[in-house]
Amino acid sequence: MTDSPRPVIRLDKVGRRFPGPPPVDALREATFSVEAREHVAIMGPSGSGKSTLLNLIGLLDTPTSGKYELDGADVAQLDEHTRTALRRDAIGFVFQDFYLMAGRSAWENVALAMVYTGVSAKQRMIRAKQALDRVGLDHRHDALPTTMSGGERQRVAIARALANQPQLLLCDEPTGNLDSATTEQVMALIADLNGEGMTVLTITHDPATAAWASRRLMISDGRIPA
Amino acid sequence: MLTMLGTVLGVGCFVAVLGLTATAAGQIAQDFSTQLATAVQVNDAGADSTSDRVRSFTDDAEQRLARLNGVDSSGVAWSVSVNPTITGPLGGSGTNQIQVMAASSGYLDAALPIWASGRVYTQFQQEHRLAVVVLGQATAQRLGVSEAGETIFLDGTPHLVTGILKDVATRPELLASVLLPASTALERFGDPTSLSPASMLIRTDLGAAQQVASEAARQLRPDDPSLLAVVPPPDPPRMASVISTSMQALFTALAGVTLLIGGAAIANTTLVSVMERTQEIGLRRALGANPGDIVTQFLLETVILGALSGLVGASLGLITVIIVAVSQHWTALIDSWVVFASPGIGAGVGLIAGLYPAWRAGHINPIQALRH
Repeated sequence: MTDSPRPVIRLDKVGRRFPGPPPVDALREATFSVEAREHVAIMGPSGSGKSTLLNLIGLLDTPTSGKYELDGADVAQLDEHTRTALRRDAIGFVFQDFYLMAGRSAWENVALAMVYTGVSAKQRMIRAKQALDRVGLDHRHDALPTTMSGGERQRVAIARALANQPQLLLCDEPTGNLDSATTEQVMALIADLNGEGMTVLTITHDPATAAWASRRLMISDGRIPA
Repeated sequence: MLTMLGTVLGVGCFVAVLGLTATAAGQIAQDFSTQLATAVQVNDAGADSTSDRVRSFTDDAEQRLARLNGVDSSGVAWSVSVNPTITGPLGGSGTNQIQVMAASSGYLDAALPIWASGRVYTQFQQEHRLAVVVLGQATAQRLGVSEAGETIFLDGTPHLVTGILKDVATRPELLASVLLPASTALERFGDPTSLSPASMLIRTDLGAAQQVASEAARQLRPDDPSLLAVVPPPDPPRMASVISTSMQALFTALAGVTLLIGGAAIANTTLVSVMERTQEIGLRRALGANPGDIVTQFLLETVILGALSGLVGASLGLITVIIVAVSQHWTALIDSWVVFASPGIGAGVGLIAGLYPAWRAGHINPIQALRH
């Protein structure tokens, strides 16, 4: 990775067809790029193809047409194992539903992201607590998710996304389950991370959330107009 | 907890069954030592195709055997060849469907009788060929005889009932018969036939049976020992080993089936667990877990659960064996390998049971899992 601006994400006529029946083109010839340190929001109504796009960019799915490059690597040329490793090391996910494990403390949830990186258990704990400190939860290391507010839970999820120090933060409706005041706090935190150099791609249907991005793209019926 | 329950029950049954088998086999071996191991049978093999009647035992056979070391009691018996009509004390039409046996008092003593009423006929009654009988309890009830001292009729001739047998250690056919003194039967019905020849039963001291068996034929008929066929008792240690082996094979198979059911329960519960944790699987995949990582995780969980369940099951199985042994006044016996191998057996069951659920977990589509 270099510090000079360059495309972290580059999509060239990327499409995703689900064979059905009936066959559905969830994404059609999507072409755009996201530069390093950019915060881009992709907006669109339900069923417009937002989630399909996020899954492709997050390497959870593969395009059926076109070319997708992540940090210069053509993901179509990568095998499943390499794609998984790239997802683990380069991408942090923030989901609308947080996906925290109810029976584990905040720091244990954050440490889960490092289980597959070969980091020792002790280091996982130290780094998890540092990540929680970074998102303002230094007093909630040992709290269970069930005892936390929605904003706190999303901050734990953001700390988990930061744990492996990824290059790209993918946020899928990060404020979908939050009230407006908490939305403000969470998006401010994401903006801070972007300010520190992290590339952020946020998918949302909420204009207030999208407003925090430096650039906004619209998606409709699987198409992203130029 | 449900996942554990299957293996706990499986391994618990496995340990309990093997322990109870060993304990019961040990107990049976003891029983053999004290009952069958002291009984020697001598059969009359002197019959040939040209002879209708045969009696290879001499009149002083019991006295001859009494001179052997280790002989406690002995006697001769046979089924009489005719079926007299037998009538109870209350009269009636009578029956000829009850077996009549000739049996000396020594034979009855050697069968280790338990008396419901009265006793065996006396020496005097035998020497004078008196009309006396001993009845098995079932026969007595059938004839309407309630206690010794009553009279039954054989072909209209009254016979005094001197005793009623409640039980015998060997020769259960005695309980379903009318028993006459051998001397009385000889006079009334003649020698035994070649179809139902006489046999002798010898009760020996513990440990003397094999020696007595080796000497009995020559002692009884030194002129022609080949007229007699001696059946020694089963060798107690060998018999115990045979019983123990066959019982263990049977119950090990039973324990195996129990474990199989336990394994199926684990597999089923783990499969349910995979379904319930689909979202967690999706999250782990999103965080960088390979399908192999997910498979390994679930397999590790089932192996650890299996090993822990094996430990708990072994403890419960041991407790069961001890409780049963104590309540039955048995000596608890269990192979130590069964206890020490139980966690390994549990882990093995967990591993096998976890294979399919783990494989399924590893191949769940992460996108669908996150939407679950």
